[in-house]
Amino acid sequence: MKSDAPSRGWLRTILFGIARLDPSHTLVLVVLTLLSFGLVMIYSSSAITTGRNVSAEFLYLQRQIVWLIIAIGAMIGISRVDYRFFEKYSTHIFIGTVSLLLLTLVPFVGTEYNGARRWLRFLGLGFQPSDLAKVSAVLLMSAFVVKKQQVIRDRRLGTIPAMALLASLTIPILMEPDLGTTLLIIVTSLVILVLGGIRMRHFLGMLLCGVPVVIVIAFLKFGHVKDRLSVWLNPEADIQGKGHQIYQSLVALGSGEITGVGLGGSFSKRFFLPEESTDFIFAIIGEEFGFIGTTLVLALFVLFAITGIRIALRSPTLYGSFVAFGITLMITLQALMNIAVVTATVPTKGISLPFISAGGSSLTFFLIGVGVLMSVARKGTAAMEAKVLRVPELAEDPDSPFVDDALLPVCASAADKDGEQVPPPVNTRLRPLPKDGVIPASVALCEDEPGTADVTVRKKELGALLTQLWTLEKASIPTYAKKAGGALKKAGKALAPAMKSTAVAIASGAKKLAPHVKTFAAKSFGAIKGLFQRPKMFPSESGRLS
Amino acid sequence: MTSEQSASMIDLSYRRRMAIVGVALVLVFHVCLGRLFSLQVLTGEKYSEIQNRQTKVHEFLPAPRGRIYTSDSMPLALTRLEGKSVYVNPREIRLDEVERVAWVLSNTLSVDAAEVQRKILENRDKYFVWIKRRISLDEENALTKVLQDGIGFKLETMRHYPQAQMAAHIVGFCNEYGGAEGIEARYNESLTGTDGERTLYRDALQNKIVDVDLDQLSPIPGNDIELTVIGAVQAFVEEEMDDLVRKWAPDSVSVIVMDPNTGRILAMCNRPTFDPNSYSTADPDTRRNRAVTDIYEPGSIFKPLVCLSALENGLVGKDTRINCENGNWVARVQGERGSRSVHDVHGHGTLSVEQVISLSSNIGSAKVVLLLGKEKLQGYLTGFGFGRRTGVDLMGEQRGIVPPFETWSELQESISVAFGHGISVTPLQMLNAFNSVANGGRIYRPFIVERIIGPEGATLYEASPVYREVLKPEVAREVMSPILEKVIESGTGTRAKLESFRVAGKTGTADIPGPRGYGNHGVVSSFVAYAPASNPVVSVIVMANHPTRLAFGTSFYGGNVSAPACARILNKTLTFLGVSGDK
Repeated sequence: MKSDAPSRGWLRTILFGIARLDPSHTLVLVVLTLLSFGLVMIYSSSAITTGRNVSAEFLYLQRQIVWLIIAIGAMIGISRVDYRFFEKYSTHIFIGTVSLLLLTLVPFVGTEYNGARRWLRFLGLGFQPSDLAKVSAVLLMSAFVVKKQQVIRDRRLGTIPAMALLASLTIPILMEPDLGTTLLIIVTSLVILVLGGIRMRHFLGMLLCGVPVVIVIAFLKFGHVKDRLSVWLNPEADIQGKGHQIYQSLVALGSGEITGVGLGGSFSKRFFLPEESTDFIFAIIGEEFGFIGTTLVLALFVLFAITGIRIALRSPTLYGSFVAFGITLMITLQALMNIAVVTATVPTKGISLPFISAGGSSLTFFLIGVGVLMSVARKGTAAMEAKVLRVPELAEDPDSPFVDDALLPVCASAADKDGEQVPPPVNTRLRPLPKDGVIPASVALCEDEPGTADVTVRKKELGALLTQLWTLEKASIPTYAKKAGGALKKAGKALAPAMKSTAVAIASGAKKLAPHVKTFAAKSFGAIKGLFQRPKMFPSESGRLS
Repeated sequence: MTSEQSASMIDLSYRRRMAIVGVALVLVFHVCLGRLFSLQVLTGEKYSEIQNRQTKVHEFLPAPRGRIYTSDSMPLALTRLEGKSVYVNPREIRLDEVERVAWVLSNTLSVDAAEVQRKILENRDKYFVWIKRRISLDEENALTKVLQDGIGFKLETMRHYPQAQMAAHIVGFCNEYGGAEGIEARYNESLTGTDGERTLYRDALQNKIVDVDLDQLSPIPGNDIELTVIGAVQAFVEEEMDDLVRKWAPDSVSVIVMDPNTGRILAMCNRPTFDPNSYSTADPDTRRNRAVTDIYEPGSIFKPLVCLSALENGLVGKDTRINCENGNWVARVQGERGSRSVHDVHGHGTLSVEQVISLSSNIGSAKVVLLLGKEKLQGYLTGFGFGRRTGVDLMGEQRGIVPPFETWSELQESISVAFGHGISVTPLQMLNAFNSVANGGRIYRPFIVERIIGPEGATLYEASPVYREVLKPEVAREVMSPILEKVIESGTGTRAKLESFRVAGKTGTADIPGPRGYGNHGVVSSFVAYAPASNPVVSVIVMANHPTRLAFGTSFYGGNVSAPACARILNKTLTFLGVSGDK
C-alpha cells in the first residue's frame, strides 16, 4: 500500500486513494455528492412540470432543500448517538415501528395516494412509516441475530422467531400495499440472517417459500401488480395506457445514448414521463447525461456499497457490523431496484432512487440510516486505533447497558485465561498492529463511552427543563382548576345519576377485565422483549447468573 | 464447544457468508450495468428515433397566394393567414386504430365517421388526406385534447376579396384546391406560391418548444397579377348595371368595355353576380362569366358586319339603293327551292345601304348578303372570329355557333345571318369583331392580364397586343364609321347621343329562339358602340337578355334598354381617361 508510485496510472491512484481514505470520510463524500447531484436533477426534471401546473419552477427544489436541512440535522444527531443505544431499545423501536405501520392502515389516519395507503400526515409533513421500517428492520434484525447468536441455527429458537419478527414488520407494509418495500425488507433481513449464521437450509426454505408467497398474495390481492407484470413482460403492448410510463422511461434512457443530450435538455420531462422527478428521475439522468452519466451514478452507489461494507468489517462489535452492512445493503439494493425498474428489468414498483429522487420522507430516513452508519464508522475508527485494549475493561462490567453481548464469550474467555493474547473483535485482524505499539490518544474516547455520557447528560437536561416548565405552570393551575371545576360541577350535577351508573358499570367491567388486559399486555411485551434477549438456557448466561 | 471456538467459527462463517452476499451484489450491479449498456449504447439510436417521432413536428408554413389588382391598383383579391385545417397521415395510423381515430374525429369535428374511415383506408399509401378544412376554435381545442399520432393541423391561408361583388366574374374565386374560376383558375399556377416547412419540437401536451428551432424552409409567396381592368371604370359600370337591372329586370346582362386599339378589356360586368367571399352559398348560375360563357343570337348589331363585307368587296356602295319592299318580302334564291318571307318592323321603300343600317332594315340587309354570296360571307364570319374562341385569358370561353358551311343555304342561313339570327356569339366575340370597325380592320386577341409581378417585384410577364387584319382600313374608317355615327345621330340609337363626343354604334333587338322557333320568348336588347368616332378609344357592348319590366310608353328595343346605359358608360370612361371631345 505504501508504494503509490505515479506509474500505477491515474485510475489506480484514484481507486487506491479512495481506499486509503477513512471510510467515514468516503461515506460523507459519496453521500454529499449524490445529494447535490440529486438537487440539480430535481430542479432539472421538475422545473417544467411544476412551472406549468403551479407556476413555481423551484417548488420541488425548495421542498427538497427544506427536507434536506431536516434530514441532515437528523443524520448528524443520530451519528452522535452511540449505535448500541438502538440495540438496547430494540423493543421500543419494534413497538413504535409496528404501531406506526398499523396506523397507516386505519382509514382517515393514513393518507391514500395513488390507491395505496402509505402516508401519515404529521404537523403538515407527510412521512411514510415504511421508510422508517426499512431502517428499523435492519436495526431489529441485527439485534435479533446478535442476541440469538448461540441458538440461531435452531429451528424453534432461531428461525421461527426470526420469521415472526420479519412477518410482523412486512405484513402491514404489504397491506398498504407496497410490494417493493416489502421485498426490500425481506431480502435485506434474510441477508442479515444469513450473515448471522442462520442455517442455509432454513434460509433457502424461507426464501423459496416466503418470496413467492408474498408475490402471490400481492398478485391476487392487488390488481395493479398483475398489470405491472404484464406490462413488464411486454412493455410496448400498451404504449398509450398501462405501459406508458415504462415505455417512456425506456425512451428517455435510450435516447440519451452514450453522452446524453446535456443537462436540462431532456424531452421526456416535458410531460412525456410521469413521476419524472421522483421514482423515474434516473431515466431523466440517463437522457441528459447518457450512458456515461448513468454509469457514474451506478459507480457512486458501488462506492457507497464498498464504503459501507468497509465500515461493517471494521466495526468492533458484531451488532455494529450487521447494522452497517444491513443499512448499506438496504440503500444499495433500493438503488439497484430503482434502476432495474427504470430499465424495465423488473416490473414497476413504487421505489425511489436513494439520495437523488425528490421526496422528504425517504430522504430523511435514508440519511438517518447514514447517521447510524457514521456512528458505527466512528466507533470502528476508534476501535481500529484502540485495538483490543478495551476488552478487559468491558469484561469487568458485564452488566453495563452497552456491553456487546456478542463479544461476551470472547471477553469471558479472555478474562479466564488472564493476560493471554485475546482474538481481536470481528475484523481487526485485517490490519497489523502498529510496530512501535504506541497506543493512540483516541483511546481515551473509547474509555469514556461518550454515547452513555451524552445520553445521561441529555436526560438530565431534559429533566431540568421539564421541572422548570412545571414550576411556571403550577402558579396558574388554581385559576384553571377553579373555572374548570365550576363548569364541571354544573355538568356533573345534571349528568350525575347517569354518569354514576355508567361509571359503576364500567368500573365493574374494568375490574373484571383489568387482570386479563394486564397479563395480555405483559405477555405480549415479554414476547417482544424476548426476541431481543439472549435465551435463558444458554450456558454462559446461566453461569453468570449463578 | 468452547466459547473461543464458537467465536472463531462465527467469525469465519461471517466472512465467508459476507463474501457470498458481496458476490451476489456485484452480480446485480453488473446486471444493471449491462442493461444500461444495452439500452443506451446498443439500442440507443432506436429510442432516439422513437423520441424524435414523439417530439419532432413538421409545421407547414403556407405560402400566401399572389394578389390580384386592377391597373389603377385597386385590390381585387388578397390573402390572409388564418384558419386551421385538419388532416390525417394514413401511414402513421395502425390498421387496428383506424376505427378509433375515425371515432375521435367524428366526435370532435362533427364529420361522418364512416366517411373518415373510408378516406383513411383508401389512402393508406398516402401521407396526407384532408379531413376538415378551416375548423373553428372550439373544434380545434376539442381535438387538441385527444390529438394522437397521425392527426395533424395545418395552418391555412384565407382568400379575401375586398371589393366583394365587384369584378367577381373576372377574378373568380378559390375553392379548397386552388383557383376555381376566372383569373384565380386561369392563373392558378402563377398565383400559387411554394409552401414552406419548419421543423420544431413539441412536448407531450402538444405545446411547441419554441427555443428549439431546427431547419426552416421559408414559404415563397405567389406572383401578383395586374389586370388591364380599370377599377374606376369597373366601378361605375357596376353601378350602371344595377340601374339597368332595376329598371328593366332582365334575366341577365353583360357589359364589356374594351380598348379597340389593343384588345385590352377595361371593364367586364355581368348580372346576376355573386360575392366570391362566400362563393359556396352562391347559386352556381350567378357565378358564370356570361360575357364569355353565354351565347346569344346577336340580332341587328350584326348587320354592320355583313354590310361591311359587301362594301369592302365593292359589291355595293354606301349610297347603293336597295328596294326594301315596304317591309314585306318573300325571298327566293336562284338554284334553291322554296321561299321565305322576311319582315321589317317599319316598312320602307327604297333605302341606301347607309339607311339599311341606320334604320335597321332586315330586308335590305338580306338583299346585301344575297349579293355577297355565301362563300364570301363564310370567309368574313371566320375572319371576324365567329365560331371560335377569341383567346381571351379567362375561363370557360365559348366558341359560339356558326351554321355548318357544308349544309349552308343562301335562303336559310345567309338571310338569317344577315340580320344576326341563326348564329350565336358571345358578347366578347361580338364586341371584338365590332372593334375592327373602330380600329380600321384589325381583330385583336382580347386580354385582361396586364402583367405578372414576382414576389420580389420583378415583372415576369407583360402582355402585348396581338392582332390580324380582316378589313381594309379605309372601308372601315371612312365608309362604315360615318354610317354608324348616323345610327346615333338619326337612326335607332339616338338615345346614345353624347354632348361632347361623336359616338358610333348599333342597336340590336334579337328574338330569343324558343323550342319551336321565334316569337313570344322575349328579346335580347343589345347595343354596341365606340367613341370618339374620329379616333376611337373606348368600345362598349351592353347585352340585356330578356328584359321583363316594361315602363309605360317604351319598348324592349336595344335603343331603349341598352343604349342609354352604354352612352353613360362611354361618357364616364372617356372623361376618366381624359379624352378630349371631338364634337
